[in-house]
Amino acid sequence: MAVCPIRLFPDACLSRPCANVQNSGRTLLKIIVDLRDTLAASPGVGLAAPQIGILERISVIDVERSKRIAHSTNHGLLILINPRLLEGHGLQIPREGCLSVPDLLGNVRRYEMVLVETQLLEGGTKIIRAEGFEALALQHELDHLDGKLFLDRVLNLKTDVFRRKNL
Amino acid sequence: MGKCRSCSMRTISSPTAPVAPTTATLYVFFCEIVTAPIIKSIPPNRKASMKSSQDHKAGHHLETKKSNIQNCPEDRRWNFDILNFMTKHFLLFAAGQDHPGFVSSVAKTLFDGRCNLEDSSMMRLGAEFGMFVIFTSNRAITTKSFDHLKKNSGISIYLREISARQARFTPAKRETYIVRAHGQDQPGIVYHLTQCLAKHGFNITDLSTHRTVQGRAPGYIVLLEGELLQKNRLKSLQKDLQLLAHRLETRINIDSVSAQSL
Repeated sequence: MAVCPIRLFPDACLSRPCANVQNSGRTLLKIIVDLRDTLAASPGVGLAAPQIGILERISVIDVERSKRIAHSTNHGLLILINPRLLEGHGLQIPREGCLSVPDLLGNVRRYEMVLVETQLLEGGTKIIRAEGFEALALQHELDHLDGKLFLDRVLNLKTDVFRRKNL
Repeated sequence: MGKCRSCSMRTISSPTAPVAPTTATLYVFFCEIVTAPIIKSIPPNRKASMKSSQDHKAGHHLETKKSNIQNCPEDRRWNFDILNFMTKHFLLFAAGQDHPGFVSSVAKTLFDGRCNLEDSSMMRLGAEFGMFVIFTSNRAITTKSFDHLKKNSGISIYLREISARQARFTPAKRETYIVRAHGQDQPGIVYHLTQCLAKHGFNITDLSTHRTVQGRAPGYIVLLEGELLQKNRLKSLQKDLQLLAHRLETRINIDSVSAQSL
């Protein structure tokens, strides 16, 4: 159990696509616990393995950590192992930030509702249906696992990217 | 024949009116012949603006022939379409230390000079502020008109007269692309990227860069938009951009910006 340092842009880990999880058992569990503890010590709602320097498709999300947005329904702490986007519907253009790009925010086009398939720690798979802010968090973390930052999705540096005033 | 309400000049009420060929009447005939087709093409809300004192003479026969034209309060522009051939277009660049009132001081000078702002782009870079403005005027505008800005506010001015064609916004006829590059800051990112794009006939229409200093090493982001003059060069451009990305250890991607009318 450890709080790991978060890799910041332009760290090379953040722009590399991650491989599917090959570890199992204790090694996988250790990565998940590290991600959970690092997320708990950060001001964010999601953390992907490449953000702590591990190039594997693992991520944790907990939108309940956000105090600014009221969430009618959410799944609480989500552990994503080899997640895959199945479907996306609707459109939202939120202004989102990233723990790895702490000084900037960006307007990014995202699906309003998503269906994501993920493997479970105990085996098997699960399909998660998420909407609104949780859907945004899922898409943001999936992007990290594909080696993308929100900077890869903005359309205009002048109108879509902003300096963050505070975390 | 009637009299003008403002200056008592005689005006023509019918084509058969016996008018002596004085300079004034010749001017009126000139306006009738040359500007009649233009007048017809002017939208009604613009025709109301013919009552200006500056263009009083040209407005005489409009007033008599098109007396039913209503004044439109929305049209308060200094310029008049009927005198388009007299309108000059200018490009103005104003730059200086950012401070409250920067834009208003430049805008006031333009307003006082009876200029119309056509297109503009303004931004703050560091502690400096810059304004790019295209404006029109019927008056002779020179850099001397802006001398007080340099003296009072330290604003540097660059002014150039341009043609109407240059001033006009021309929508892209070719496919538009957006190019994003981000990675560790290093000398020559913009140079190498733009050189690669120019080699493939990519015309940049908008470019912004941003340097971040939060990580262990400073990061650099380049975002640009432009047109590819020959669409069949897209694949070779993508290939060269990937080679460049590998060489600079930077992430570079190019996407089509498709605009759909709904």
